Amino acid sequence: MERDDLKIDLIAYLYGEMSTEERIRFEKEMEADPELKNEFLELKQVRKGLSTLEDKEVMEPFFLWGRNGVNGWSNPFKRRSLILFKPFIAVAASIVILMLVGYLTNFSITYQENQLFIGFNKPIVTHPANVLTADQIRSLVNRQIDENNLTILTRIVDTENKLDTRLTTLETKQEQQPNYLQVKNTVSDQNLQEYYNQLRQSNATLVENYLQDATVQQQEYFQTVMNQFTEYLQDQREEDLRLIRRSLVNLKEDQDQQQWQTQQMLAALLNNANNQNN
Amino acid sequence: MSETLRDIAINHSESLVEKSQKGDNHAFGKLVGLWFKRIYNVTFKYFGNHDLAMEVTQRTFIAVYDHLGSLKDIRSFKYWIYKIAINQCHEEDRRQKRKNWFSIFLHDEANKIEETHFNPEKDYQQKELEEVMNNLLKLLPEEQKTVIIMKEYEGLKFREIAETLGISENTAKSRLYYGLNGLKKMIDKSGLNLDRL
Repeated sequence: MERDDLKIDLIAYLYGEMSTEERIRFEKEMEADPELKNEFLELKQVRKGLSTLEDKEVMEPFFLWGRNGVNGWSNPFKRRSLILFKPFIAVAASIVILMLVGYLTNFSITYQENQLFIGFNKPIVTHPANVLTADQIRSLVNRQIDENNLTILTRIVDTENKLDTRLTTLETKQEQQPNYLQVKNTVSDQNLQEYYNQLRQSNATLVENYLQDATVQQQEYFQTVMNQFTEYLQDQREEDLRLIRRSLVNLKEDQDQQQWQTQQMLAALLNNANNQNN
Repeated sequence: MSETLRDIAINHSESLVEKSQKGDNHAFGKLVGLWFKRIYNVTFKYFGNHDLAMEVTQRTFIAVYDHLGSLKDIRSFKYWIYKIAINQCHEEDRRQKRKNWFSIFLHDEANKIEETHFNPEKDYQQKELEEVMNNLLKLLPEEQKTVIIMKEYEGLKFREIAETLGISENTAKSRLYYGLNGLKKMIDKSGLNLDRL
């Protein structure tokens, strides 16, 4: 279709947005123009196709705007964060739901003996053929203990035999060398006695020499000390005598001095008396 | 399109808008509750991807919260929020196209549509037809796709679409015409038979 006005009219007619007069006029035009009518029918079909698209039901995310108002909207960062983290929140919520469903349905996954078990509501039971009973386990344990005991007993018997053999060998060797041990013991006593006597004599000699030397040294020391003490006493005595002599001299000098003074005083008295008499 | 109680409430949400403008977070929460599904479905039809649709929807409401105070005529809230949603869709679309890996993904997905979903025997089932239509819608230019969504799924009048997108009514009709024609060509190419619907 080439005419723009016809296109516009066609759309207006298709969606019923024409006045009665315009609609009548356009319908007449369509009757006269089969191409226009054909196009109208085609577009009507397209509209029918579009009508298959129905509205989707959707809930507004409660974490963005709750029932009791809009929470945190005044904070731009919080709003952006909520949108950006939306996928993570969705994943987290899905995981929580899965965990909850799993818990409620006793969902369990186990892997044992190269087999993966996935089950609901009932505990997983492995194949009976693969399960050992308590009696079988007890029997296995007892058999193993018996085997161990037998092994240990065998080893003990072997060890006893070896010890017996070695003991017999040792006794035989001991019987073959009795004289040697006896002689060896006798010689040892004599030597010990001799060694003891020698040691005693040597000790006595040493003590005697030590005492003689000690006596000599002590006498010499005592003599030295006495000499030194005598010298000391002699010196002390001489010093005392010197002091006494000096004291006597001083005393003599004092006496002479006093005598001189007395004489002087007497002379003065005499002179005074003579002068008074004169 | 039958009008539900929710649709009626949506069309009369001025009081909630007014309270929200005065800082009533409780009212804004109710406003979000009312509009979330509508905005989500717009973005979902735009991208055909739940995660992207959720993200763009949340960004839309963040923008609404941030700029609600600047809305002078609360009666035009409906067009205003659609406008924000469409702008967010355009921004996200460009952001996605800038990513090389995603461009490759889109290319592969387009090929996948042509190679896989255009098998007539398979596509006659309702669910798959819905998927095919969604994927075809994604391949349209954004301005045509936007008008189709506004008109076909949101039921806006051409006057409202023009007001929302800031274009003339005739431009809106023209874009819708080319959009529907583009879809028709892709449907023909796919061998999809819509007569059996």
